[in-house]
Amino acid sequence: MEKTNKLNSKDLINIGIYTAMYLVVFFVVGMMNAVPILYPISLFFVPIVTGIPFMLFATKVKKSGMVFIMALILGLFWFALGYTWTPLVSYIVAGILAEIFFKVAKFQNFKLIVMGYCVFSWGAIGCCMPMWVMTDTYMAHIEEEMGSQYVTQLMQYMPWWMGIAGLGIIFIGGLIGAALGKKMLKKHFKRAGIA
Amino acid sequence: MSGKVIIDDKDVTGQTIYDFNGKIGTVFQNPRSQFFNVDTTSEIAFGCENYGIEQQEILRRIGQAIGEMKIQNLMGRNLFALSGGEKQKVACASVSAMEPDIFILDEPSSNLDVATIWDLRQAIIGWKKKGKTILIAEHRLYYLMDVVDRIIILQNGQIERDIDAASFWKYDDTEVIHMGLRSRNPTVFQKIPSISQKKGVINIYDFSFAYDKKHSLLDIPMLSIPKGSIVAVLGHNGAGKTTFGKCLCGLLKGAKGTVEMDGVSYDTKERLKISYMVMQDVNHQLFTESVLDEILLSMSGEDEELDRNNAISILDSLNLEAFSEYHPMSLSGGQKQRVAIGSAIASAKSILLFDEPTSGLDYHHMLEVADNLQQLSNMGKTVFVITHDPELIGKCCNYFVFIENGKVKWSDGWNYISKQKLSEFFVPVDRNYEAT
Amino acid sequence: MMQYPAYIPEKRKGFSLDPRTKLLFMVLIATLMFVVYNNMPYICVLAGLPFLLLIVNGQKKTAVIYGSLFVLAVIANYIKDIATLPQLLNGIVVLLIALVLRLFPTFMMGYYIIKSTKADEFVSSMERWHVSKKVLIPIAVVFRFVPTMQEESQSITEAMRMRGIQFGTKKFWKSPGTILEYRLIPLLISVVKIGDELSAAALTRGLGNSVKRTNIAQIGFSKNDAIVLIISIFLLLWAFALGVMS
Repeated sequence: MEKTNKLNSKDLINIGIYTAMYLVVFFVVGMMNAVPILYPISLFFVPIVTGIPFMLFATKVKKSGMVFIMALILGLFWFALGYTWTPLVSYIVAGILAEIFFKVAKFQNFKLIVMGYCVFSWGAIGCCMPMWVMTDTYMAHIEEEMGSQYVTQLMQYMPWWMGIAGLGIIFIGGLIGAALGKKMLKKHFKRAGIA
Repeated sequence: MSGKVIIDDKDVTGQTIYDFNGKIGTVFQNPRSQFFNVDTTSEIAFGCENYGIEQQEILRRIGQAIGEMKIQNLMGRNLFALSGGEKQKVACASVSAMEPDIFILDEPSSNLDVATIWDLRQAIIGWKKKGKTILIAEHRLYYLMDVVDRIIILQNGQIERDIDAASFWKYDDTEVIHMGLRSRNPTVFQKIPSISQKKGVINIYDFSFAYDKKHSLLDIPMLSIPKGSIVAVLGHNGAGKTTFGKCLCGLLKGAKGTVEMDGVSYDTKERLKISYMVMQDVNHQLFTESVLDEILLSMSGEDEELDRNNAISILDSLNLEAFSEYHPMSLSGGQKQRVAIGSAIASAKSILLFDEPTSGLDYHHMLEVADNLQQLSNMGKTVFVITHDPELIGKCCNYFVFIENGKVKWSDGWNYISKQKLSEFFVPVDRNYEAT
Repeated sequence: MMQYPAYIPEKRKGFSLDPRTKLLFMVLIATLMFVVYNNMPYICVLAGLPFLLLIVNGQKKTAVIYGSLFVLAVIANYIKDIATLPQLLNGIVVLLIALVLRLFPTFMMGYYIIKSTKADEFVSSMERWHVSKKVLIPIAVVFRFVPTMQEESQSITEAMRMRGIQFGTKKFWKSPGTILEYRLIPLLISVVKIGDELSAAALTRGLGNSVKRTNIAQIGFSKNDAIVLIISIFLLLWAFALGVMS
């Protein structure tokens, strides 16, 4: 086999498999999303658990583009599922940033790969954004209609800095998730001969 | 890798798979992992589409392939809803539609039931008539003996024998067994070990299960099994064998019926505690990071020292002591199966069910499984085996349950009549098939 | 050798749309939801269309659940200033109303897209948009592996029940984290193994070949797509009119 940096079919199939894993795990953990008040909690837990499939994926990533394609497909998926186009944008941005980290890490440096994963996980913020934007515009409309006491009250639950806090929560979850993923690699996948 | 490959006087060494341009088609062993699409029609078209064949031509080839494989009724279906045998037929059709010159089949029969093996045989005969070259890697020989022209026996990566079919027939049986090969003839049931002693019976009452009111998948008013026997659960694909097995193990929520053993009745939920199923894909039931932990997981955990000693003696009895610190997933298929058996012994289950434990195994490994089952039976466990493997049945089963359309058609120990019925089931007459 | 007639693909049943139409319609609904937010009849129409699509496609149960929650939110939206609730509760109710009203139309549309789109139709239609293989092959694999994971997960659940590994048991409370491990690790190992075998099988059938792919999927602009186009134009005009008025 000639060695090239172009993605071959095996790589593309791998991207698909790990994207499917990521999605399924995301979905199961993200079930908590059914209750909007729990967003901060699921923002924290999702990157922890998806760390396991992602760190396994990271052992297969040896070429540019793999991480970005995964992010792009996730964004497209959330778009098709009705989360509007905000996750598409956030995942494309997160995917490009993560790709840079992986490139600089030469697909080896563990610390940089962990950073890449945390940044990658930021893509999930786009899934919450429509909730914020939508409720925000709705609030503005209510404010016009019924005065401001509703809105100030609600703003206590949905403050503007929630977005930035969200990124922070995801980042910490990502760090834990990457550590968990690495532990599982060592404990199971390496010994089972698949990583 | 080194060496040379020459096809049609041309050295093709070092060419990529695409350079062959679909001239080589491969059918793999595992029906679950070789399809790429979700529905059957796209799957059969898949290879042709990848090679850029015109739409009309693809449709012609699909028509031809489904006609030859007799799978018109499977078109447009979801592949996930098909049985293993049906998936394997779709796999054959999708390779056939590429119209390759060379077919490579990797243990194509290992997941098929008796009737489907005969269909596969017909497909191979059809390809052969078209002048195709067909290379089959296989343990099961009986269905191929009058089809193949040449036999190559490999051992430790070397060609042990390379002979024509006629000379292979001249070998005597012991030599064939010595090479680890399966029987060349359809199994003739001769002596079957009898049930060692009378230990009582297990009674099954009113087993029933249905997804909806119209379609009953299981309906067994009453069935008696000698305790401590090794029961072969027989029937065609889709007859309800697995449903029966899951119901017996208490895995089917919503299933009705009780099992009575030693004067105690067990309902569905209670049966989870007394029964254990060794799955066909044993990877699903190994959870821990070492073989020893896997056994310990099934124990009560109250007295760790005692548990540990018990676990080690269980591993000893299964020839696994050397692997106790290995990751279960790093073991071979047979070893994994023994780990699963060990965990069942550890949890003191008295009913054990095996789902196709010998698919894809050569003669020696099949014997090993038969020994394991025998050992369990000697320990007083009642063993059920869902199987399509006549040689395994001949080696160790001593009670038979035949299931058809979710009902027990017959059940019996070893006698002249059951022998007759078994032979009829496993040696189908070439009904309406074109002769070779 | 016997000759068999060519295969005639089954005609698409019901109100089927080209996957491209579905995606574009999704873009439209999602965008309009951002722009128009204070006109209740408009929002109801936006929710009604995917509701109808779900019904036509046979997802009646889901349609009814989504639909009735939406209707509930519409009613609640009208009576929210009549009833006086404690402040906190009131806040939560208003928030929920907002989410249901604004997001359910796209959620319903999303559910419709996922349920009604076949993998080969999707891939073929994206090929016509000249989307790269590098994206389409992984997407096809995702279509294939999500059901695979459900199937594998089902068997693992059964295996766990037989071993008594469950929530709430004594073993569970000793180390609650391990249940996640038992749940996930065999699943991932299984899927990786299936994936390796699938790669081999797909390669032997020419996946990733540089030849331009053909396909037999039935896609293309039909009468149904035209209906959706007309409705879309109408929605745009209506939104424009609302914008001018306000």
